[in-house]
Amino acid sequence: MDAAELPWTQAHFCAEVASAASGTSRTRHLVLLLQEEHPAYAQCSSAEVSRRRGWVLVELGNMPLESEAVPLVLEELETGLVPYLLAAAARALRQAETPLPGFAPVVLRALETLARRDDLVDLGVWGGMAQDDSARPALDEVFQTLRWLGPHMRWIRTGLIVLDQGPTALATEHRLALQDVLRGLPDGSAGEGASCCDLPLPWRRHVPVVSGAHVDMVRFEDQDGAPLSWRECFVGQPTVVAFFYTRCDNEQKCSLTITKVAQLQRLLQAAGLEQTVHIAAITYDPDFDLPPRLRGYASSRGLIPGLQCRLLRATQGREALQRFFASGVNFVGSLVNRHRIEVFVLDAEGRIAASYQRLGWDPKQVVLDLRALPRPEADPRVNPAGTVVRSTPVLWAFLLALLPKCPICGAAYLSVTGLAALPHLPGWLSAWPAFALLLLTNLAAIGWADRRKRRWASLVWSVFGTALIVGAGLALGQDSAIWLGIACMAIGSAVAVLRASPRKASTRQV
Amino acid sequence: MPTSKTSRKAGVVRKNGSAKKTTTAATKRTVTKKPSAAADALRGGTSLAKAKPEALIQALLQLGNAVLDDRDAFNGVMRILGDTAADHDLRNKVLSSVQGLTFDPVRFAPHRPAYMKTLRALRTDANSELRQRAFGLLARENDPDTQAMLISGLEDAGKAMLPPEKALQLLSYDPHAGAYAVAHKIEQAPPNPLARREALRVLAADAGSVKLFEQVLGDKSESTEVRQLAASALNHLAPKRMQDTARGMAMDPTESDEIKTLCLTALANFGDPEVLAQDTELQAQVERYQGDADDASSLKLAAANLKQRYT
Repeated sequence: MDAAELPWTQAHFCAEVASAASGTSRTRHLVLLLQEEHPAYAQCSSAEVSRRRGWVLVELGNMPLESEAVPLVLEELETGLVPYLLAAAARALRQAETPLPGFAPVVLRALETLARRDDLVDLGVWGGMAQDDSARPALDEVFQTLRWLGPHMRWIRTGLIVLDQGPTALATEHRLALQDVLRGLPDGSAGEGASCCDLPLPWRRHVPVVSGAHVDMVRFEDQDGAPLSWRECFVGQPTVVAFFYTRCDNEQKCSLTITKVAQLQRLLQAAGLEQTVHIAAITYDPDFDLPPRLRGYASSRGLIPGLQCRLLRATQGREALQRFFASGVNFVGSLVNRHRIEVFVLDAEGRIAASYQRLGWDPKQVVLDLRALPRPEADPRVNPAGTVVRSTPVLWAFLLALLPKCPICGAAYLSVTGLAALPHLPGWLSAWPAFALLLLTNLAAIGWADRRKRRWASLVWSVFGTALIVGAGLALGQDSAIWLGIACMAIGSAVAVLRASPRKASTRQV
Repeated sequence: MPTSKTSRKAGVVRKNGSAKKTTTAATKRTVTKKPSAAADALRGGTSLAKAKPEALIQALLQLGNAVLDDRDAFNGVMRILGDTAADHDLRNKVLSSVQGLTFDPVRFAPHRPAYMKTLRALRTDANSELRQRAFGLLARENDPDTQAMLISGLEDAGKAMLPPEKALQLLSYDPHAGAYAVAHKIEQAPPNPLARREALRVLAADAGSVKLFEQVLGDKSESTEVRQLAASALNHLAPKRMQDTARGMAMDPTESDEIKTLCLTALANFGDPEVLAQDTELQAQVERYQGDADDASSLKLAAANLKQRYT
């Protein structure tokens, strides 16, 4: 898409960044602009997303780095591949009040990345594209940040030695700089690789956000093409949910995430938890990631799909799914243009208990989270009592309809309450042809009655309601459309009842 | 000044439990002695303008990968590439040599910034061949600035540095390039048939283009080549829909033999054997193709292949 046609033009974005950087709560506003789901990135190519994020990171490098922004800067250094973004993030990190030991492995990662794909960058220009000889290799910025780490560099001593002596490539000046750094380090590597270098947990593990999104209407297809509802996937046992997509070109993100999910699967087996915990890997790219692709992607990364471990593509209710998880993802067309690492721990009721975002996550920590969850009473999918509880709305609907009333009112009650309770009925999705037939029968009956009276208001309301329910509601997964459709059908039924009542009264008078 | 050096590598072969040390011609490698004149020329010690093109190429070939160990020499190579006054043929040959050097990624990596900078400068070179090659090399690196230039040229022909079909071909290397919107525009109003074909190739990775490919595949007024492209794209994006479409077209008596062959082949290679085994109508049609077509025809062969799949 032409830059001028994007929902947010470059000029608009730059103005927003300038405004955020000059006002109060600068960091907060800039951090908001770095959220992947921000509308500023909608329909941008991945390259344009990089240019925009780089612009914000450069701005963060012009002010003290507050704690709120540190995970975003570290994320770029840890998983980024674009020299411009790595250089901007490296500069921004140096604005932190003090270097922490946990920064050292992340800076080492950036060094290793750029040793393979360095480029000239100019952080003063849009996109960082070198315009003249003033541009410097991105590695220069990262080396400056390495020196800024001071004594904390000792925690990555071995990695630096490998970078210097191993089969990696550094330009002469960078190799000399590295050797200079190594000479300045104290001997020994005590504590290296230990928990000294873990980043603070609050930067990696997040407090769950209750989105309020209704996900009951979300439908999935698994790696074998089997249709599944939200409840079938996520209610009854705790679930670990990881997001990915097979066309992700950043090996530090989706590919590594699924590899770690495979590690988690093995850890669960070792702990004897494999039958009590579900694993679900959900693709961001459901139109392209068809079941065979999901199977292939999993198997090539050591993940063994089955009943307890599913790879899912959402076939309905994608927006609700994104809202529920507050997914950090954006798209160009239907393809992802940028996303963050996202792993969630759901309790047995399908509520988010913990989430790991942006930075590398540890499968062992996830196992600890799972152990800390309250034990589910029983799996309602195999427990008749649970089935009764979940089917309560259906029972209420029947009871309400069976209360003494005239036949027309009874039909109206059944129609409305039945539709409202539909998603609560176990396995209702497989019976959709029967429900479709019932809807059509309802429309035919109303149409027949309206034709006799030559008044069509009731039919119009009902057709409109049916279209909303089937179209925007069931096909596109819009909860609000379903409720609006139900309301329209109720109005249609009410109109029919009200029209019938005076005639009935007049008959009695006769 | 580079010095001559000799390295030796000894191989150890174990056979019947005994170790045997062997030195073969393959394991004994002698690095070519670097000619000082060639290195001087490449470093710019000898004026590049005065040097004969043949001598420079010879120097580069003699140095081989050793040029990667000599930054001044490599920068000299980059200067030749970027010298618009230099012979075009020479610059093209130099670019070919440098492309060869990239196959040693570890040693090449320190020179990558200079290489990328030179390639970016070549994007506006007067020589169209060099320009096109530079765009191609940068596109393979998913260079963001190059992708932006290519898209900009497709949106506005006045800014185009390459023909639209070439620009689309280069953008197809990266599905994240954001080229689907412009590819749709070109598919709708193509400047030439080649550009439309390349636009379809770009869209072959776009999950939102399934309907487009169904239409193109079903359109008998399209060329066989374009319909084949559409079939391939549809099979990539929506294999089940391709199976349904292929079945319908294979049964259609008004379709050309080429397209029927394509559809039977698609069913034979990607069709669900269980579904095929139950499809008696299709099986009867396959029998007819086997009986009616010439012995040497592709249609008959495709029918036989499909029959093997369900029998």
